[in-house]
Amino acid sequence: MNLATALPVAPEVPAATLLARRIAAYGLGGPDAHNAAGSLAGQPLGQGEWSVLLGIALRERMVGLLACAVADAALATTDDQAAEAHEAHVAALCGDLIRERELIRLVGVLRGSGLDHRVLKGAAVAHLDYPDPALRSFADVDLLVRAEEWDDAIQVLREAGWERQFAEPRPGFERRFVKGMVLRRPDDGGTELDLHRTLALGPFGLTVRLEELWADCEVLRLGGVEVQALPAEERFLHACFHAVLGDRPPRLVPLRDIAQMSLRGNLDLDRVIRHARSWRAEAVLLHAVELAWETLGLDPTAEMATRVRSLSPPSREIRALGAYLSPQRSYVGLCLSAVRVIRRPADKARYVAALAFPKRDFVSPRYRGHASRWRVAVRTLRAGHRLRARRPSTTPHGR
Amino acid sequence: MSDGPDESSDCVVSEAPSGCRWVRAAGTLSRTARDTLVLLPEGGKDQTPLVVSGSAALLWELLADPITLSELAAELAAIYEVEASGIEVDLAPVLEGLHSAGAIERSP
Repeated sequence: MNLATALPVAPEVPAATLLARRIAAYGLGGPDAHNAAGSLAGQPLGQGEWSVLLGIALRERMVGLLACAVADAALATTDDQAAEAHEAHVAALCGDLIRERELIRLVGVLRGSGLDHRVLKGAAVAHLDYPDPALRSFADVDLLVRAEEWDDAIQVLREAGWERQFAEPRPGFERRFVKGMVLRRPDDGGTELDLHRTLALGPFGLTVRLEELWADCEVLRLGGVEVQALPAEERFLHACFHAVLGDRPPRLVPLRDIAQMSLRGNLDLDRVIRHARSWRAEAVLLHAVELAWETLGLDPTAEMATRVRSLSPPSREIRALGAYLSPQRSYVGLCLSAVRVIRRPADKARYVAALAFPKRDFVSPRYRGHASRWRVAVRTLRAGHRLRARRPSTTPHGR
Repeated sequence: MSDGPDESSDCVVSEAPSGCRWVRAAGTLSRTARDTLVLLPEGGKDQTPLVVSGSAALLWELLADPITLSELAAELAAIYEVEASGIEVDLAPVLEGLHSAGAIERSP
């Protein structure tokens, strides 16, 4: 199976989005990316176009790159537009610092209870991979905890005033199967905590070898406090997961993260590929790098691009990736496709049973009524049935 | 690491001994955007970051290591090619503000 033909074709791209892509690539180098923002907008944009561009930059959390391109005069603007970009950047930085302060408190809470942590995504990448953290804003706090410490972490965070959005479908389900959980503090509506057990929803989240995420770490200092992040290669693969398995259409920021880490020259590519194989995520790595290179117009002869393009992911991975990229993608669909990669029959049964017949307090915020709940139950049981009927060699664990 | 302004929180920068050295408080979070400095000191009750414009980014750079008011003024005067005495007068209330917010502290 070929990755290019197996995945959906991208629709036509509007002009503002194209310019936003150039800004997302600002300062990276490469034939198309190098100072490309200026070549697209040598004259200031009209106010309407500018507002669209600023809106995209804010939504994509790359207002730092926009402000940088404006300050360098790589993107022509009026004085008012330049002032607007600067103000938007300062406002974004205020938000980043508030989230960073919350992150420090959260690490203290976990550490105080003897629980391990790894800072993920924005805060880690901004400090460890960008030349200036002001270039990379982030919208929430992302923390990874050990699967075996999941219940303790949730308990400790609840005692610290954080509340979960949804109840657990069945006891023990989350520490075995979930990607993570969003928590909020009702007394402080601002910051959102994305507590992770693994790196993605669905089948690719379940094939990550969690023990490898805890084997090593990279330390960063925030406000005089040491916090632990994933090592560079694991951080890079997480950016690939985020770019390809996260939002549809893919956000520009994780694509920039991929490019930023790739072109910094400190990644051990053998280790990246070894992890991707071990996590059965070569298709994710290949698609993420191709997407980043194509979207940001990067140098196709760069070592990362050439090495990764030589990969041949197994067809089962490409099929699994198709479920994430499909226009019909749904939360339930991804949960169901995850059944295929659960190894032990007892776990498979637990997973299907928890999704088909969750506890009432899990159900009520998610489904409108009994009919909706039963539709999901029927789909889940059918999926479980199909998997039992499947020939063993067609499942990821069949070999 | 401090919980905000240290034991010298009642210290007035302009009245501090001339040899008194100032340094960033270890718990202060910071970012710069061009000349603008965004700070979030540790331990503040409200979570509103401090936004300092002008040549604050450069000032923050200089406060990475302990430095006196006079030395700061001299450094900035050399960069902006103006009289150090004039800068020192302007600088004292800025340091005062940073100190009372808990963003900087007296170096031991």
